[in-house]
Amino acid sequence: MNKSQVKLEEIMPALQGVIPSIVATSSLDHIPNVTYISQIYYVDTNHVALSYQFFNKTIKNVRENPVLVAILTCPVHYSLYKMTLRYQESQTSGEIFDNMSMQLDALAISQKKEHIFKLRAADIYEVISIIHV
Amino acid sequence: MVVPAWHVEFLKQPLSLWIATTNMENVPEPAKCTGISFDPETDTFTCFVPSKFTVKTFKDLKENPIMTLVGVELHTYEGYQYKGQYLFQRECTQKEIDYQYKYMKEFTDILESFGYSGPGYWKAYIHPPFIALSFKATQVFDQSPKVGTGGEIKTGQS
Amino acid sequence: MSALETEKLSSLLAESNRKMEIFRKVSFELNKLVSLPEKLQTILAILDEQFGMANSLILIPDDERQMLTVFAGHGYDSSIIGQQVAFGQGLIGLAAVRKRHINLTGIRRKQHYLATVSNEGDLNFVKPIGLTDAESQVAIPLLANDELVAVLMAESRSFCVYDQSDENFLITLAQPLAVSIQNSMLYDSMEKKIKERTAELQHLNKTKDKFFSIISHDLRGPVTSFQSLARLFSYYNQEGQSDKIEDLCSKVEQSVDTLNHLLDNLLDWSLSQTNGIQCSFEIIPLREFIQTIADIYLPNVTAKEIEFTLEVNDGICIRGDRHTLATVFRNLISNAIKFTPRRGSIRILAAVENEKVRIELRDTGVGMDCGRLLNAFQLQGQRSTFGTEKEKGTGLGLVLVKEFTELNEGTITIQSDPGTGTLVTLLLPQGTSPR
Repeated sequence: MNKSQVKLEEIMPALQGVIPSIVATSSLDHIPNVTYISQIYYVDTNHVALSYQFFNKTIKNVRENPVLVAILTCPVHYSLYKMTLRYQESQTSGEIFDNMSMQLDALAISQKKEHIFKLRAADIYEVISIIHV
Repeated sequence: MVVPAWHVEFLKQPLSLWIATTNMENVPEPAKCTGISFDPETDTFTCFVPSKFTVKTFKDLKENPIMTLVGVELHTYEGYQYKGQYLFQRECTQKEIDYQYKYMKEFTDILESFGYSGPGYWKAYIHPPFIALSFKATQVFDQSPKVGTGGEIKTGQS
Repeated sequence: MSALETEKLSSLLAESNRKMEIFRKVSFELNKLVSLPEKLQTILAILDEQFGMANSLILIPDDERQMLTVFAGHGYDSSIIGQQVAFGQGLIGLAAVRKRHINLTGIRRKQHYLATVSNEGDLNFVKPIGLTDAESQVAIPLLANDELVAVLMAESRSFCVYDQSDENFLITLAQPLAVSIQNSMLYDSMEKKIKERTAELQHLNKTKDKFFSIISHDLRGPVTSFQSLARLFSYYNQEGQSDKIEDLCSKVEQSVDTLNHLLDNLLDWSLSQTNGIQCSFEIIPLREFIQTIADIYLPNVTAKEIEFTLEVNDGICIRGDRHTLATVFRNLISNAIKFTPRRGSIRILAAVENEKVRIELRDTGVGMDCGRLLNAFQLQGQRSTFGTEKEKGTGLGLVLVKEFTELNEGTITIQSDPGTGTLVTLLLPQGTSPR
């Protein structure tokens, strides 16, 4: 096992959405795409979730090429972590979806914007590797 | 010209900057950019990146000379992706290094006003030596978070 | 085992011990016999001391599950107690509705992002109940038997982050907290019910005491009169003074009338106290009704040479229960006669006013001072008073008048000045015949 491999539980602060994460994807014709994402959600020891609110290039790339690489910043130590993920499935119900949806609702309701922000799905990713950058 | 003229001023702000590359197996690689310079005459970007972050980047560019740069304004989240053909890399000049420190100061000042730790970000991003990667933009995409975002911006459009 | 692994295990063990200690302290507080607010304040203080929860609230839902009210707070000023949040509003309201915990961090950045993305102009936040600049918030619904008992909310201005095990710990702590709150509220509710029942019983007891007091004092008078009258009858009969026997007959009649009146009032009053009165509403022509009652007292009016006038148009009708209204007018007229001196006057007027009938009973009697007026409709402290010619009463009269007027959806007011007289005003529903 690679000594620099980090466990998901060790970087929980980085999964709270305090500092947005950067995600990079690639289309099948080798064009890279990079964008910010508000939060990567902890699911379990080997999985995380990303929110799918509206269709974009990242979603399009991942649907054809399931590899996504994210850079997370820990808001406590400001360490950077590179997380390689593989897209597994989209969930539109269940505990993960409900928790993510509730967090979004809690924010949106406080601004009376619940009609605008609705979670369409929770995209579940398998964690391939995490390294400290 | 691919990059709209008014982007020149936009790009002078202390934006949040990241580049991305990908290899022929389509495994992408993001890397932190600590400053840019843009030549509107040639649509050429020069991205300054800590050498520490570029190990896989260079490998990718050797196989697949396509690069993407994203720049996002910290207050409004207005952002754009610039995609293009990788040209070359070299070490940063002293002027460019000085510029990066100036950029980081402005960048972290804004983040500190949001409640984040300026020194934390310095520690995370500033790792000399720095490399300058140049690429010629061939496409520009709107990245601003709004419904319908992601569309390509053609010259002449705002 | 490497040094790093040992250090990690030691750290986990220390953390585990810390949480056990929190549990122990909280359990100790929950078992104390103190008021619920005091208990909850102490627990919130423990959570601050041990867990770093510098700002926390406990909110209790109302019975209708519409609003949550702050019951205990730590780290805020006292004005936060009693503030409310609607179900579904904000983090707290959402946790209450969905009965699930929510943990949010980086709130201000996320809210700013949402505001920017929605492109709907300026930030338009609903003013939160606690900190206006919270960066982290966690809301945990406290459930007992799947019923929402309360919501525990903690927040912070820093990006402090509760990890999964912290969250799980708080959720575990929520369970005994929920049960304790529920038990305390049940206890408070039962105590309240006991107090209400006790007050009710005390009232009934007083009523019973009054009842016996009336029986023992007020009715004795007429009965004693009968005894005396009986002796006098016997004496005059033996003496052959038949003219005097004639006089005695009118006195007997008077005593019987008084006794009847007293008994009527007593019966009506006792029925009203035990909710035994059954009202039967009908349209009653007012003039004829009052005249019939007034006629009962004609001998008394004549005996005191009182001028009695009834100024009520024939067309005026009221809607009410004949029996209880008869008691009202009987008592009012009887009182007026009792307290009006010889050659005084009693006027009864009526007029229609906005679908009500205003009835005024005005006498030129002795009037009432402020003290008596204030207690006119109160049973407690009632003392029966003698009329201008020593007429007797029970003190129940006006109490009954008020109760029965209100039973008939009416109102009564009294204006009186000592030496000037009394004006009693009744407002009763107008009776209209169906077309």
